[in-house]
Amino acid sequence: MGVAAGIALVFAVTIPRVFLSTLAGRLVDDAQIAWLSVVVTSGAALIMIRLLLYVLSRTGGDLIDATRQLLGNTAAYLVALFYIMLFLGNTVLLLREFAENTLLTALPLAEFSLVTIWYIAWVAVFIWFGIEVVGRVAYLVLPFLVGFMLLVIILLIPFYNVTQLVPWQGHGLTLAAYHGVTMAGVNLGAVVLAIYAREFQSSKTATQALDFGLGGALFMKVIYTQAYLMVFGVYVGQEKTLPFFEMTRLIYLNHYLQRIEALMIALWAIVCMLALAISLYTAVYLIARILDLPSGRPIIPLMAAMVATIAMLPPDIITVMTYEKMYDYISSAGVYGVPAMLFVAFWFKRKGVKRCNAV
Amino acid sequence: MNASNNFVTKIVNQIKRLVVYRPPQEATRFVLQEPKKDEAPASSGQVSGVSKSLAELTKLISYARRLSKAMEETAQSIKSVPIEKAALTLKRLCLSLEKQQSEVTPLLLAYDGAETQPSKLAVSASLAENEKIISQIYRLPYNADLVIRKFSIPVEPVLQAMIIYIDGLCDSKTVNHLILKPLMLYSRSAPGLPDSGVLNRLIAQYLPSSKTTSTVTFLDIQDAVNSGDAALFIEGEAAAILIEGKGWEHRSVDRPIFEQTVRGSQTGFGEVLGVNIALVRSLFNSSDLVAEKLSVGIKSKTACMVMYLESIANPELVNEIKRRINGVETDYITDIGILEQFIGDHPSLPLPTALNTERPDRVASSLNEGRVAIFLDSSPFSLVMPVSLFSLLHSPEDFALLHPYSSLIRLIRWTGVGMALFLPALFLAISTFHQEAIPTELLLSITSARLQVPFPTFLEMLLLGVAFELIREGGLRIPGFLGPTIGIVGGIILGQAAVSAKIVSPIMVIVVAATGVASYTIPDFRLSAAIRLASLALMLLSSVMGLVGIATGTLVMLAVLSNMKSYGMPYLSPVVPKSGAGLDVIIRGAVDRQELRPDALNPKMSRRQPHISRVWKKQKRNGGETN
Repeated sequence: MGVAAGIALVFAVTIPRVFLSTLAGRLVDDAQIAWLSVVVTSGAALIMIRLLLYVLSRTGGDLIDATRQLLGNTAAYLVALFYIMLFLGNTVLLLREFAENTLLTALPLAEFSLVTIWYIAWVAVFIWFGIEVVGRVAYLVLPFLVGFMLLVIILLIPFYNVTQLVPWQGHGLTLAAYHGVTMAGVNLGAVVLAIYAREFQSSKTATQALDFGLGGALFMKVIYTQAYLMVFGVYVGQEKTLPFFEMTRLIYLNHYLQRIEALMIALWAIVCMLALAISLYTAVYLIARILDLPSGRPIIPLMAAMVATIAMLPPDIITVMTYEKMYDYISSAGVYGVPAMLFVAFWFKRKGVKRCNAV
Repeated sequence: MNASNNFVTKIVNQIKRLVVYRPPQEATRFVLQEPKKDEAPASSGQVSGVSKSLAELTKLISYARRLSKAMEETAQSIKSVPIEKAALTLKRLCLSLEKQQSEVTPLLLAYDGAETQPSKLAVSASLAENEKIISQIYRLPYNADLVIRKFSIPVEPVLQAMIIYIDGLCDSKTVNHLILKPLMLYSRSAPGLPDSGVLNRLIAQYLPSSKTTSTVTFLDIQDAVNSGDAALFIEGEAAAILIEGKGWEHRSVDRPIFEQTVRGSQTGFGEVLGVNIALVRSLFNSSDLVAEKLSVGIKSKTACMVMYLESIANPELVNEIKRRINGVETDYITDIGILEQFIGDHPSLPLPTALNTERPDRVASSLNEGRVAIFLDSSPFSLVMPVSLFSLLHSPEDFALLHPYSSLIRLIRWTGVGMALFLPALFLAISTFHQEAIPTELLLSITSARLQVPFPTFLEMLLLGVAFELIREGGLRIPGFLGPTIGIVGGIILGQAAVSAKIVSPIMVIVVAATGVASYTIPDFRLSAAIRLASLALMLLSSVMGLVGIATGTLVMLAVLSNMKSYGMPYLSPVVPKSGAGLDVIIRGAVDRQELRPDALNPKMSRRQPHISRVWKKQKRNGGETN
C-alpha cells in the first residue's frame, strides 16, 4: 500500500463519528472549547501512534511481530486479543448506531434487523477483497467525501452566528484538555497502520499516512465542531441526536435545491460501510495472525454474524451511547498503553533488537 | 522436552489440520513490474570488450570458412574446366574475398559503436553477413512479416543475391515482375557483367523500376524497407540497391464501421491478417516494431500476430501475453472476441480488459505508449492491451482534436456514464423512499402522472428498460437501413402507446430514454453493456434500500474495479494506485505537454518526447514581426 491508500484508511476509520452524536456529546462536555478537546484527542493519538511506528521502523515487521520480538509470544497474543476486542467493539457500536441512524433519517419504515443485516452482509462481501482493495476504495471515495463535507459547511454560511462561539473558554481549558486526553480512544482506528505495517512500502509511508490521515480527520472534526456550534449554539446543539443530519436539513439554496439531507444519506452510508469494513477486517486479520491461519476469509461470515447479533442486543440507542463512552475510555488504553509499553521495552532492549524482513 | 513435540501440541495440530481451511494453491496473479535493469543495453567496458572479441572472432571464422570454400571451388574449377573459362569466375571470387578482408577492420570498429544498433553498420560484401545484420535489425525469427528471398542471377559468372521486403507493405507483384523476373530470367542471355560497377549495371539494364538507388548503410535500407521498398544485396558488393515497391492496402480497405471520426484516419482493418499488419506498419515506420506470429486453436491453427514496439514495450508483458496465447487449448478460435475471453484476467466479469479497435491509427498510438496489440486472421478487429477503465472511454478522435474540446467531450462521456449508471436507480430511490428531496411541484407532477399506472415504480422501469433493450437488439439484427428505422419508429410508437394505455408514466419514458441515450456516448460497446448491467443491479438495490442501496452498490462496484487487473496493470490506474499518466486520463493536456508514457505500463522508455518538443519556438526565425 502507498501513502494515499494509508491516508484514506486512517481518515475513513476516524471520521465516521462526525456523522453520529459525538459532536453533541462534545458540546455537553466542553461547550465552546470543544475544539480544544478534539485537538488534544487527535494530537495524543498522533504522538502515541508515531511512537509505535518508530518502534516498528526499528524492529521491522508489524505490531504483532514487534511485540513478539520485544515482549515474547504471550504478550503478542494478549496485545492481539486486546486489539481484536477493541476493533470488534468498534464494529458493533458503529453498526448499531448507523443502523439506528438509517431508520431515523433514510428508511423510517424499514425493519431494524434488516438494516443491520444489510450493512454487515455487504461489509462482509466488501472485505472479502482484502485490505488493499478497501484502502483503494477509501482513497477513491476520499475526495468526494471531503468535497461534500466542505460543501455542506459552505452552504451553511447563512446560518452562522459567530457570537455563539463565545465565551470561548467553555467549561474550562483544563477540563477540555482532560476530556481530550481521556477520549483519545476515538482515534484508535489509526492503529491499523501499525497492524498492517507489513503492507506498506516503508515505515516512512506509514508515518506520512498517519500524519495526513489523522491530520485531515482532525481538520474536518474541528471545522465541523465550530460550524455546529455557530449554527445551533451550545444549548440547542447538546439536544440534537444527529448533528450532521440536522445541519444538512437547514440547507436551502433555492426552490429547486432544497432538502439535500436525503442525498447526503448516500455519503454517510459509504463512510459507515468503509469504517465498518476496516474495523471488521482488522479484527479478522488479527485472529488469523494469532491462530496462524493461512487465510482469514472463512471466518469473515462467522465474525459478521457475531457482530450483527451483538449489535442487536442493546435495547435502545441511549444504552448504546453509554457503552460507546465506556468503549472510548477502554480504547484509550489501546492508544496509550500498548505503544508506551512497546516503546519502553524497545528502549531497554534497543541494542539487542534485530530488524525483521519488512518495514 | 520440546514444546512442539508434546502430546497436546500434536492433538492441537491434528485438529487444526482437519478444521482449518487451506486456500487452494493457485498461481499468483500476474502483476506488471518495472522492466529489469539487465535488459537495458549493456555499456560497461567489460561487456563491450567481450562482445567485441566475440564479434571479431565470428567475423574471422566467417572469413576463414569462406576462404576455405573458395580454395576448394578454385581447385575444382581448375581441374574440371579450362583455365581460361574459369578465370573470370575466379577473378570475381578473389575480388569478393579481398573486399571482405578489407572490411574486417572498419567493421570491427563499427561493431564497437553500433553493437546495440546494427542499423548503424555499413553494408557488407558478404551476403551471409548482411543477412545476419538484417536478422538483428528486424528481430528475426520473431518478426514474421519480413521476407528474405535468396536467388541467383544467371550472368557469367553467376551472382548470388538476396532481396528483402515486408510482406503486405511491399507489392509482391512488383517484386516478382519488376525485380525477380528480369534478374532471374532476362539476364540469362546477357553478356557477363564487368568486375566493377555491377550495381550500376544491374540498375541500368535489368531493373525497370523508376525509383532505384544504391546505398551503403543499413540505416537507409531499413528506412526504405519500412516504408514498403525492397532492398537487393549482391554477393561481393558492399552496397545494396533500393527498389521502390510500395504497395500496401490503404483507403480502399474500408472505413471503420464502429469507430468513425470526423477527423483523423478513415481506414479500418479488414479480414486479411497481412493487410492489417501492413496497415499498422504503414503508420509506424520503425524497424523495432515486431509482429510475432503464433497460432491458436488445436484444429483450426488460426494465425495470430502479437505486435509491439521492442524498444518500448515491457518484455514481461509481451512474454505474459504470448504465454497466455500459447496456453490456450481449444479446437477452434474463430473470432478475436473469443480469444480475448480465453486470455483475459476476468472472463466472468462483463467489463472489458482489452481495447477492441478496428482502427490502425489507434493501434499505432497504443503501441507507441508501450501496449501490445493482437491480431487474428479473419478478424477485422485488433485487441490492444493492457488498458484501464479510463482509456476505454477515450475515442480515437480525441487525439485529432484540440485538447480543450476533446477534454470537454470526455467530460460529457463521463457524464453519460454517470447518467447511464445512476439515473434509473436515483429516480427509483428518490421517488420511492426519499420524496422529500424533490421540489413540491415536481413531486406533484410525478405523482399525478403515475396516478393511473397500475405497476410499482420498479416494475414500470423494468418494463420500459426491457422494451428499450428489445428495440436496440431488434434494430441491430434487422439488416441494412431498416434497423435504425425500426428503432426510431418502434421507440416512438411503443412509448406513445404505453403512455396512452397508462402502462407507464411519461416521466418514466423520459428517464429510460435519457439513460439509453447516455449509454450511447460510451465509445466501447462492451463497456456500455457492462454499465447497463451494473445499472440494473443498482436499480435492484435501490428498490430495496433507496439511497443506502445505491451507496452499497457503488461501494461494491468500486471494490470490484479496484481489484481488477488488465494483463497485470491495475484497471483503475493511473488513479488507483496513483501513477504518472502523461496528462491523458479524463482531461487531456496539450500534445507538447504529453511528455511521458503512462507509468502504469512500466515501459522500457518512459519519455516519449523531450521537455521542449516544439523546438521551432526556440529557433531564430526569418522575417515576421520585429520588436
